[in-house]
Amino acid sequence: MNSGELFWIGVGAVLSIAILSYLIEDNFLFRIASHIFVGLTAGYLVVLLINEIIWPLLIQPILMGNGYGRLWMGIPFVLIVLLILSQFPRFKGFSSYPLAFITGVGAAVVIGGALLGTLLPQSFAVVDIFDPSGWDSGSNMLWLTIAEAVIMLLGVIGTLSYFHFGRKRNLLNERSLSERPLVFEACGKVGQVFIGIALGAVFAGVFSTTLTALIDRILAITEFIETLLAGGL
Amino acid sequence: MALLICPVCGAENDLTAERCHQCNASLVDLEPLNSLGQENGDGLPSPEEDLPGLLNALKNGEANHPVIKQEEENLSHTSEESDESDIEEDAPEWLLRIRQRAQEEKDALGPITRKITAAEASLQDDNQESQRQNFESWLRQIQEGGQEGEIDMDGDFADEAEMPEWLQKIRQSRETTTDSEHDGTSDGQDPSIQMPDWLGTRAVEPIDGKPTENESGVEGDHGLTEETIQVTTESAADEIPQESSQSDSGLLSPIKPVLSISPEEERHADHFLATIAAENLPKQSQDKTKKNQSRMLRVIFNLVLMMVMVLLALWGSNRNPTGHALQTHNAAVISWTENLPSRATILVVMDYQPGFYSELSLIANPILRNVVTSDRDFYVLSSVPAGQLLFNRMIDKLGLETAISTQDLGYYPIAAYGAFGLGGKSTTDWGIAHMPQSEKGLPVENYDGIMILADSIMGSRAWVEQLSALMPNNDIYLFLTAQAGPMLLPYWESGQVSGMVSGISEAAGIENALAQGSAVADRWRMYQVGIWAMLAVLAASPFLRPENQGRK
Repeated sequence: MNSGELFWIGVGAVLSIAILSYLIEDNFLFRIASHIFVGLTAGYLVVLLINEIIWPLLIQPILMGNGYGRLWMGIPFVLIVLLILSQFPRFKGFSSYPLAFITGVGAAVVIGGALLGTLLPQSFAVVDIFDPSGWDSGSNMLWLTIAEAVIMLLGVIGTLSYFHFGRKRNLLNERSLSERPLVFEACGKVGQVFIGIALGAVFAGVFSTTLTALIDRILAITEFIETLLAGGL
Repeated sequence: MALLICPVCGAENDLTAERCHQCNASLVDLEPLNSLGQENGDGLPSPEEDLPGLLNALKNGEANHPVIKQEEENLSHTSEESDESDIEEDAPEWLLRIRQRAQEEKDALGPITRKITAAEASLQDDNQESQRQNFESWLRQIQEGGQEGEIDMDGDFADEAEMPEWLQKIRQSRETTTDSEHDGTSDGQDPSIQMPDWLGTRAVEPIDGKPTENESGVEGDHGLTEETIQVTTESAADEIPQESSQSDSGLLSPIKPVLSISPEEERHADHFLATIAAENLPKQSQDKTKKNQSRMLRVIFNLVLMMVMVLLALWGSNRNPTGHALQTHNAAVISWTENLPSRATILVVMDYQPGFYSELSLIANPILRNVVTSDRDFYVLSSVPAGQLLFNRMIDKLGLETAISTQDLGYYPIAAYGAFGLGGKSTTDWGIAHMPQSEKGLPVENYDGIMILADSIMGSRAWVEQLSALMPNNDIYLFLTAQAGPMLLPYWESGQVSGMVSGISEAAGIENALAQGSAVADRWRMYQVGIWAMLAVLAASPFLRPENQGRK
């Protein structure tokens, strides 16, 4: 290990200790380390955006393109200028055009992906699991496949019922405005169990991931100390 | 003496008269009537009948008596009708139509109007409650004045000669009846100024049966002491100008403010007093001590945990990893690496932050060691700023002897846009004429595999949604942190994802199956210690919380 590598490992170890000092309480070392990370990230992001997006995707085509090309690239350029103008109170209203464009396109992309990539395939998967042709009839675990399918169906119905907030419209009964239909209420209770299990699994995953990061930092500090003790310089 | 009253002019005639001496109207078949004062012999009705209907009802203790109800309704209706009639007169025609429709159709009212109506109803209830309290207070004032002898029943008639004749008759009749009925029970007070017993009793009891302030003033369930209430009442009374209280007298003397609070308000007051009591200095020092103890406990626990992990890392690295079962979605990834052609094209999507590098490198490295060779082409697309740097570092850590072919496809700040751009180009061949092409453009080709390395649910789901819909012929393999894995598993079940590895637990299984050493297994042992320690803390946390230490 050369001195350059050891230096950066040392910087990483010191910053890790500064961050871990938050275990005691909020302190100067923690704030310094946080500011360093935020500043580095912001600076790196600016350079990256210029290098990866603004120059190759906007400036370069304008400078090196032909007449029609420059005309096409004028559209995003105008939108960018309008967005920059929002920093001046007098021209604040101009920013609504590029923001509306971004929001509209973003919504179209996300909704299309959710529909074609999640809603329809997941619905088909729930239905397909009940197809007997997909079952292994010779397996001793056939009942397990069927049980899994039933549980999955229960989970889907229960979860959808839990998020059903409709009310039956009945002018003669005022209570109908404040109460869900009994079927949805009962299925919603079942859905609550599935949602609880899913959120519990997510929490366990978050905990696991943070613990893995902590282990990595402990190992980095240990490696640095080990190298120093072994005369790494 | 019996008389005949003329039905036409109302004149009194003798019983024997056949025609009225005033108007000459016929008095045949008329029923004779006794003259005024014949009932009791003194020309006045009995004292019981002399009382108004409201007081009669109060005397009989009938809170639900129709007279009381009617009086209460009259109080509320009078104010309501006067207000409503004024509003109705001032309201324009369109508003009247809306109100009429609102009365006919319940759905015509929107949620805001319903809330306003409910608020108005609540306000009316409050007003009625306030009127009831004023009435109760007035009765109490009468009772107090009667007991203290402050009520001057003579009122402004200091002189007997100034008193009207009708009032003298009433008082004379009262003297005769009360002397006969309540002889010896007046405690020596003048019967004319003494309040009747039934009224005094009624004044002490509130109409709705709630205890009066004097009854509830004793420290009881509500927690407010008698001293607290008295102080509040006195302080409120002190705010009334002395001149006005001295100038008025008799029944219409100013009503002193009465503390009338509900149990809920008393509970709020208790909380408020408790909050104030918790702000004293000894308590603060106690809290500080507890805080320091909690902090020390936290630091000691974490230091012990770290020390145990370090010890495991230093002395536990030579054990053989065992017991990691291979999941079906993990086996699919291994199968893909084994069947990958030698000159394959692989797209790597980097969608994780640098903080998760350690976990994702542990997860992806066993696979990358099999996949990354010098004759394969790698395209790297990032939706995080440091994506390309993280990929380069990951490849460097593999320790390959030969260089590999990689192409940076650029950074896309929003994952869904990058995925849509990549997938859209592969499925459609439309384009804009003369649109300049960038050096960072996305390639139009099929890949032998798409590896998505992600740390979050949202980011990885955006990639899977777009790519599985727009590039269905490409196999997608997920390498996820443990926090993103559970929510992406349904995509494996539905067949949209060809394989996945999530968390170091599954990575240890793959490492074991591929016989690639014990780097992940060492971390797994440290991870298990951390998990058990955290479970212990979670289980013990209800008993370690400072606010629970003082509980029995």
